[in-house]
Amino acid sequence: MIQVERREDGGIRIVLRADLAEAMRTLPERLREVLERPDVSQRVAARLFPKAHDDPAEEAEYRRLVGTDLIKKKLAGLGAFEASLDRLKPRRWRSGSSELILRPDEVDAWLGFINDMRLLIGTELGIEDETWQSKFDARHPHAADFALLHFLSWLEQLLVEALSRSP
Amino acid sequence: MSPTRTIEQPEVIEEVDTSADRLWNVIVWNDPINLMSYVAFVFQKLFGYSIELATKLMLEVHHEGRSIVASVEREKAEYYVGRLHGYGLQATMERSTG
Repeated sequence: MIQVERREDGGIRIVLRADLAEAMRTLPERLREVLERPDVSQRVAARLFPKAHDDPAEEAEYRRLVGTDLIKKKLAGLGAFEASLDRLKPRRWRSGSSELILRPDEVDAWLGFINDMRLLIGTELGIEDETWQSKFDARHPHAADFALLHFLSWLEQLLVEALSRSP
Repeated sequence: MSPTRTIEQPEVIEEVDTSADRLWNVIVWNDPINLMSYVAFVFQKLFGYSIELATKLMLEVHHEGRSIVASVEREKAEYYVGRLHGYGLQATMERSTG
C-alpha cells in the first residue's frame, strides 16, 4: 500500500506499509557505494553517468566540465533522501503503515534518488528490455531486487502523478 | 518511423536566434528502465514544454529509439544534457545538420 498526496505548501505526504518504509532505509548505502567508487561498479556508473558525445575528445571535455558536479548533485540528493527518512513515523498505533511528510525543497532530491536507485537496480539485474514491467517471478534468484524495482517504480509513478497536479 | 512524423520545434529555438550551423541537437535515447510518465515529466519540468509536446517527444523516444528534444546553441545544449543526465535520462548532443 502506498499513498502519495501533494500538500498545499507544495510538499508531499507519503503513506506506505511499514515494511516498505523500512526497506527504504537500506537504499542510500547502495547508491553511495557507486557514487563514491564508480571504478568498482563500472556498469552502474556508466548508466548513471552516460556519454554526452560520440567523439572521445568532446566527451572528455564534457566530463571535465560536468562530471564532478553531477556526482556532487547526486550525493546531495542522496543525503536529502537519507535525512528525510529520520522523519518516518508510524501512522497510528498498530496501523502497520508509516508516514513521511516531504518539504517542497526535498521533493526533487527524493524523485531523483528514487530514479537513480531504479537505474542502479535495473542495471545490476541486467535489464535490457521492458518486459520486466509486466512480470514477476518469485523464484528468480534476484527476486528481492525485482520486487524492490517494482516497488520503487510504483512509488515513482505516484510521485510523478502527484507532482503533475497543482498543489 | 511513422511517415507522417513531424517534430515540433522546441520553443527554445526562438530564444536563440542563431545560424543553423551553430545549433546543437539534444537527443534523448530510449532505455528499458525509465518510466514513460517520468520521462514526459522531466521534459515538462526542464524545457517548460506542454504536457502534449512532452508526451509526443516521450512517445517518439519510446517508439523510435530517440528524439531530438531541443536544438540550441552549444553551451545551452551542454547544460540540458547535464540536467538530463542528472535526471537519469540517456542524452547526447550532436551538431545540427539542418
